Amino acid sequence: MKPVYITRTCQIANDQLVMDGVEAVLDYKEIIADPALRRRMSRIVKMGVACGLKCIEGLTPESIDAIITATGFGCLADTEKFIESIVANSERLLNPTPFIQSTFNTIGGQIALLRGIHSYNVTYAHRGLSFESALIDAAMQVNEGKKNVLLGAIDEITASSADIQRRLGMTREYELGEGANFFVLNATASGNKSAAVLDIDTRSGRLTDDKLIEWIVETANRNGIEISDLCIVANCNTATTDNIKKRLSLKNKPLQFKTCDYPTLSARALDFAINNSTANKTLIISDYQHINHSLILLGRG
Amino acid sequence: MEELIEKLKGELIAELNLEEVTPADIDAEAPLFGDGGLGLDSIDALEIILILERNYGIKIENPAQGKEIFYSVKTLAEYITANQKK
Amino acid sequence: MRIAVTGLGAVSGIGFGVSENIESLRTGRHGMGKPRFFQTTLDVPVSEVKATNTELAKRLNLNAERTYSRTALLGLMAAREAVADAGIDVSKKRVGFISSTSVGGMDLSEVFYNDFRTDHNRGRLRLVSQHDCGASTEFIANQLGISGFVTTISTACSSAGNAIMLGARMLQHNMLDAVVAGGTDALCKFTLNGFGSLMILDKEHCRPFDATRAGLNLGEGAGYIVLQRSEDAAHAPYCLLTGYANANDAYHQTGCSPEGNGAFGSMSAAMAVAGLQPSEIDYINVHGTATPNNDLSEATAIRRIFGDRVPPFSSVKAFIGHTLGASEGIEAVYSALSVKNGYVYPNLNFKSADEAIGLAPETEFAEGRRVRNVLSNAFGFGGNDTSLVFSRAD
Repeated sequence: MKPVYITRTCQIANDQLVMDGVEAVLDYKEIIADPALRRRMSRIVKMGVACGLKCIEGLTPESIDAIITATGFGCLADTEKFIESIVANSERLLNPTPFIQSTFNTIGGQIALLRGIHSYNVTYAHRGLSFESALIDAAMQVNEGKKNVLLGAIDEITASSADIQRRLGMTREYELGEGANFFVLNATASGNKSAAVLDIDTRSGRLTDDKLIEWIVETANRNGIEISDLCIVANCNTATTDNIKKRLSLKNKPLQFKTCDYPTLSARALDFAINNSTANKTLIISDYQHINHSLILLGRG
Repeated sequence: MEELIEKLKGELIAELNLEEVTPADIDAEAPLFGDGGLGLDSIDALEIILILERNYGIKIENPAQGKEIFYSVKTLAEYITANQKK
Repeated sequence: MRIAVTGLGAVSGIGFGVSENIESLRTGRHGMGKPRFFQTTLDVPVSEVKATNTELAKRLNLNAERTYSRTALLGLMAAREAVADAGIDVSKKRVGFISSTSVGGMDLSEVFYNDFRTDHNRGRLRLVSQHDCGASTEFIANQLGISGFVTTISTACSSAGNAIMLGARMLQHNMLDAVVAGGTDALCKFTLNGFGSLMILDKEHCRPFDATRAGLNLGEGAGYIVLQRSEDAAHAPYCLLTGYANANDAYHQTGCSPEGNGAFGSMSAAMAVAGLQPSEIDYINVHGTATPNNDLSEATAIRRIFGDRVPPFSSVKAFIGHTLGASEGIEAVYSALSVKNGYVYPNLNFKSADEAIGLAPETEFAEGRRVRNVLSNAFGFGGNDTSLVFSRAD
């Protein structure tokens, strides 16, 4: 596959909007101007839709050839609201809004609806590899000749899911996080920070640091890159990062990125890498709950 | 009737999440749906059916039936007055 | 590159396995009845797979003592059949599994929630750990021994169509050598009440395209197909997958536009990918949910493409119900066999044409017809419309 270029980045996290690495004003009322649609949106939908809309600001609907979204858990607040109403009302007189909004593709669908975008629209929901799957699809779309492919990832924390994840032992290493990250992908570079996605690879199941390091070397070799030239963005725990530092001779100090955890955090790591790494070749190493792993190799635009 | 109209306005604002609307903004005779009025849609129609059943004991089986009843707050109030059981 | 359909697997309310499904379609035996395998107070017909989870686990040679989501069990049953049918070696690295589901392990989550809602320290964790869409996919992939590319798509009712489309594109890009693609969904309170709250469930047996149609019936099941480049196939393929497309209606969150813009877009683009003219389509397996809105909108889109030469078409939803994330998985299996054996499936319960639609579907099972190309539709919430084209391999 030919390299694809990320020409715009947009992030909403911790109530902050960051476009191409620069903080901007986050005003949901201004971004999602239609009050009729906005009033039904839960936090994750607002966050995702606003982030997606800002990312394609100024582009015409006809020029956007695909909308590809990813979410590990989907719209949890609406899902719980609807389950609660089923139990509380004994399956009678249920408000349909939370059911409609609970669908995994709600955010992709709403962006299409608000901007009148009739093109390809798909949502991936595959744990810690949801975003990687979407990125692979987006790269294929660009290789198929599509322009301005909107790619995004969204996950939210709710009180209930936090309690469940804590009980499942998923918060042992990191606190839970949430956020929305969107990107525009094209076949050619544009903008001052555009990055090229050169390779994406994924694995599932436990992975020892030895195997991970082997995999990193393999990936670098396959792409004809000297390991020492790589800047590593570590979306994994610090013990693994330290091991990588010890075992590989790197000119650049790895950038420790992971400070919280959620299934599509790798999308935020990608935004971070694009806007913070100054090296020519950057490798993002992601580990979600030690069950999903990915390597994303970036070059300069 | 006036009292019912004001009550309905409050219920619509609360149940349909019309955050930026006040009762005074709603003209009782203006269309609820489509352009020129509150701009409600088919999902709102389902929610209004719930308001009728929950708060007034009036059952509407077929959403298509609601079209004339739901024209405005006034038509809604008239329908409730004529059919209320609760 | 020619993409061959080399394996099929299906489970639905009308049968375990592909041959039982076809036999039911042939003999007019539908799967509708009152809900028996999950607790609900709603009195509407549903098409359930006629087995408890324990029975399903036993049929699959799994430890029946353990807790599995029904979505995972149904998916494994159909995917295993498809893999065996194709005779592919799944241990190879470039074999992928692309599944889809609309609610994942919700059937277990809602049981968990009954205990959890009053006290967040209660509720069996095993019931909620399979909630996410990826859980059933990973389970099935592990059981099958697939360790290559694995992912899950969730675009409501068009999910499996999009999974199959992704599989075809990954073969085109030479990223995989074989792929098992489709979808699975189990019935649960969540979806049944969801469609109930939208007031689009028919309390009677649904009647797609009929003048008296009044809504849909839900169903459950799973369907997968195996795709390979035709030169890699171990045996003569059922047919080729020649066209696929996804378009967005961008009209309403749950409803379809009166002009059927999304459906028009996905059908015409899929035919363009296949390089086919309308006159070359011999059968359309329509989405045909039996809601007044869907059938009218879909028919309008069909007329816009085919004019007054609409090919034979039918909806199988009165047999198997709307199986949501699984629907295009199961219907892709039916469509592949339509091409292979010249089958045309009956649109059960159609009696009188709707004047606004002005089209009548096929009502008898037929075989041995000349079916060169089948167009198969799946439309979902969020305006998500997907169409596939299956074509003769010779």
